[in-house]
Amino acid sequence: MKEDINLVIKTNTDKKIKDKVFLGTLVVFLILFALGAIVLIYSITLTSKASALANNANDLRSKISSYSDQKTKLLTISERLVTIRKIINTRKKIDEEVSGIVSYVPDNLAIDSIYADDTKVTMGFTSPQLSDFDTLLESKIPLMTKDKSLNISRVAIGSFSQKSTGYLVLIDFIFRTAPVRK
Amino acid sequence: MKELQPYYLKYKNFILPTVFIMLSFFILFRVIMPQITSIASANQDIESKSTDVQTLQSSLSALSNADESAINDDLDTVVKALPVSKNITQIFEALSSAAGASSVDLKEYSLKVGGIYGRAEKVAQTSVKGVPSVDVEVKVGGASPRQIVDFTKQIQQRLPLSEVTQINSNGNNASLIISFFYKPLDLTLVSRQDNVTGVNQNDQTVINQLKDWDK
Repeated sequence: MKEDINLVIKTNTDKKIKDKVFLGTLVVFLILFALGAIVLIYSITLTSKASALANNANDLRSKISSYSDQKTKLLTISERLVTIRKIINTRKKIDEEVSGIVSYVPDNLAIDSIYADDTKVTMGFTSPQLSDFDTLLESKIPLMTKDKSLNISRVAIGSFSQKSTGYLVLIDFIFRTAPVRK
Repeated sequence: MKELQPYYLKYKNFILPTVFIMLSFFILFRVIMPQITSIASANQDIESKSTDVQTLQSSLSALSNADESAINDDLDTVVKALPVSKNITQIFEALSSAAGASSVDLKEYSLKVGGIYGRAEKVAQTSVKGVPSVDVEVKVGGASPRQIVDFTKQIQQRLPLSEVTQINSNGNNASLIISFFYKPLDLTLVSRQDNVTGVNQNDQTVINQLKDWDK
């Protein structure tokens, strides 16, 4: 007896395969169709939501336009204040530097001259007595350099001269450059 | 037609699956994929429009709750602090007032006003970048060095806002270079903006300080 005889008829096998192919493609189509429908509905919903928001924005813009005068004024105030803050925070404080130094000057010394710009302050001191400078040079200047509010990086004697009225000492005070705040 | 009949009979079971496959490809490439791109852009659109609506709502609320007289008062103060043009009268008033307060004698002053018409070649340099200024050279007399320091303090605490860039004092006379700030106002740029915020506490603090300096 032959054992390898296929008892199933070939046409039946073919039919089963064809049915499977048909069902498979139908299922894929239906899944994609359903997915397409969902995506399309979702997209339409989003578009209508965006359109509603655009209408809402236009409504609000038209309401705001009735306050156009106040709007311009408030925006101008904000715009000015941004620059005003910038100026107040970053402008040079020469007056503070000079007045800081002046506050340390002993009463027996007269301030003869002041030159100040953004890098240094040069101050001329006069006195009829040479010993009057001792307090300034030996105790006051070391105190100034330790004063963090003054921010002095270097102190140098520019010149020393004798005049008919007394002695004149020019001292340069050089400051650390503060980082520019933005 | 008769010659096609055997082919039809042979392949008729594959016609529908082929149609399904073709329709599936059509749905995938012509419906699903374009819609996915469209959904992504619609989401971005919704996000930006929602932000716009929120901004506009807060702007409307700020505008409807704003006190008009307070706005006018604040606007006067900030424009006085930072004028829209080179206001020489205001500068002179500030100099005279500061000289009076520090008891110095305002001898003379000269302004480098610059252009009257046309684009400026160069903006005067101050430590505050991007803000134009008018440089004024002021000569004061009859003053001790301490009074001159006081004058520099006084002028910087007056409106319009200024910056003392140089002090040169010898004996009772001194010469100072003072930069007075101003800034032209671009109304078209301002009117294009939608984000209107009212004057908040920090702004009010600055405005109050400016009002104190408005002497």
